[in-house]
Amino acid sequence: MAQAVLDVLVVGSGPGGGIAAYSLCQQGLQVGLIEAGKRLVPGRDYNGHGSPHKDWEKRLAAGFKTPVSKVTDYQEKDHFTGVGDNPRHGLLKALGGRSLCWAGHTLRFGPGDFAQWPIRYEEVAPYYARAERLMGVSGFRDGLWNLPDGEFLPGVPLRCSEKMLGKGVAKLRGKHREAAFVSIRKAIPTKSGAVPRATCHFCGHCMAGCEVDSKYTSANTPIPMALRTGRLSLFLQSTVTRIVMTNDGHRVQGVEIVKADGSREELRCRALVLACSTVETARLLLTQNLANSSGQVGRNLTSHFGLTVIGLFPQVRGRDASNDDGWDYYHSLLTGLYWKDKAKQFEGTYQVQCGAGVHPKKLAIKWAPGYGESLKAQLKDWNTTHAGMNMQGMLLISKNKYVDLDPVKRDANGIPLPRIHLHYDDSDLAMANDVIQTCEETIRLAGGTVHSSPGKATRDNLVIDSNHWVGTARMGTDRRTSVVDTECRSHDIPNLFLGDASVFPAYPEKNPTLTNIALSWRMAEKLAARARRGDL
Amino acid sequence: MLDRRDFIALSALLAAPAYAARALTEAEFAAAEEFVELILPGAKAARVMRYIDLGLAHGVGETAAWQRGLAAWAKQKVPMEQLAAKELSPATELERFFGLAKRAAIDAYALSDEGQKEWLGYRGGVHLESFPGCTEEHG
Repeated sequence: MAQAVLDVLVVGSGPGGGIAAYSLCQQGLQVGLIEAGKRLVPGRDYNGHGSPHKDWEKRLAAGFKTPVSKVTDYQEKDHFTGVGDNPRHGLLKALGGRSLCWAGHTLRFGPGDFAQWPIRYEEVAPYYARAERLMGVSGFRDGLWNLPDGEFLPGVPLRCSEKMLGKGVAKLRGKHREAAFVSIRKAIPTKSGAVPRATCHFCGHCMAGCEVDSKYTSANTPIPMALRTGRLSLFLQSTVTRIVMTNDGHRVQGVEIVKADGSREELRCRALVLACSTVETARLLLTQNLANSSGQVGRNLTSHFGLTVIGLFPQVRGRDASNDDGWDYYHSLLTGLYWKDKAKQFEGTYQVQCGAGVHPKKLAIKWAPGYGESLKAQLKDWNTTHAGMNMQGMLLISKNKYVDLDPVKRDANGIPLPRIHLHYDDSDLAMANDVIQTCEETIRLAGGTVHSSPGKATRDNLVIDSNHWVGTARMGTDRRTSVVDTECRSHDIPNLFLGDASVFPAYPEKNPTLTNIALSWRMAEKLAARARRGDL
Repeated sequence: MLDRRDFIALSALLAAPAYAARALTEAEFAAAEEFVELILPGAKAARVMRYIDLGLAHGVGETAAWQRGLAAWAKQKVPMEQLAAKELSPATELERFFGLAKRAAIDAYALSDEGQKEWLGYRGGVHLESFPGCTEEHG
């Protein structure tokens, strides 16, 4: 029997893959969505609402070492090799991928951020707007030129210590620093009826996995919408092991998958979209050295990195500590730094995510001197009056950061593991030292005291963001120096498209998911337009 | 007349089934409860040692370190004040154990309902229609 040929196969069901599958189906194409994991059910498979003490024995017996049920329980382990300054890499194989465990921070890149891209902000803005409407993004309209406002549901106000930080930032501006302090924007509805998902009930577990499915994920919004078109075939617990090329090696013909029972199958398609994540997409291409005439696959890797400074605000002492859960720990953002006035000591920009209060099931400050009632009083005082400032800086793109293949280690299917090389550059350290100074100054200007600070950034105290990797298959107009064109189509293979953040050619300080979704949506529309005019 | 803490402790004891120590011996467990209660009053009522012992039985923490520390404590009941003074530069088994037990106890107590509500004043974990944020004005 002749094998059915789907119009498009999409590999990976995370933020980029989910929206691509939906858009392609909506435009009348027959789509197959391949996901290595299974479907997880919020509230059943992960539920942070539980009691850590009551659930502890059950979790230990199940092999977990952490007390609270989180969707990150399902993240992969031993799935990559790290080289250098302690690279980390989050990978969640489940329908929806890492959209299940993102914090929901939904920030547009601004016109200044696109200056280093081959496409302009105005080209992406309509897709941002469309994505915000679909995702149900809540936030305030802040009027910042390089953090453009979107189509927002009502925003969520700040906690007390965060308001204090805001006062410090106002004084920074008084000293002619370019800076702003705003509430975070999230893809979580704060108003009922705006999107067909539950309204947020402010339990604070967003990143642990939203038990009530209020937070936008690929699994709760675009994939069900794609299924309702009747044009989506889901291949769950199916891992792509090989891209099948035509005999002349010029075009993709399909992929080989390994299913949960170990059997192999070849799926055929007219076009292939890889949306496996920055690291995994590079790995798949490098395994067969595909789409790599530029030699840039795996290169230009970047992420966000950071450190934490904690301040104490005696002004808020004695207030009712009652309920600071909100929508997860980070509620606010110090932003606008070095957008126009570029730093002399380092390249790029950073933002600082800020949080406060007694977070459910996790103390921000876990140690104080002494013992007995005075120890308890001190810890309570510090935790209820603190604000945490977490740097999110752009990691300099350089030859010191890249992905290649481990020459020795392989996965269960015999595919080489990806190897992530991370060596911080001097610019990275200079940026981190600038953050430390800025955070400490902000705290002091607000009338607070610095509780803890790294003091000086070193390669050992910087922490890489394991979920924000971008840039291993960058977009560009010159096929000698880039992997995909401005439509996210491979320069080398005309029916191969990329739908994840691997295509980012440059990276600002802002969280990547909204831009990943907007770009993938745009890519899917351009792909479908090609299909309609017979140009695949 | 029972005070508030006694009442909570009694309620917890009546409500919870007796716990048989898994990683530590019964005698070690009882000594650990006493030691941890001195560091964090209220920890016993919050069943902090149950939480820690369960973890130790499943490889969360090092049982041998607890046993060495408890043996040192059994040998000499050094005042807490003295142990706390040496916390950042511990030289003896018991001084090291003070830091170990304190960190584990703070973690476990903060995760308990009693610790969150009675100690930290936490009133979260409830359904809110909207999040009010900070409604007070501060300095």
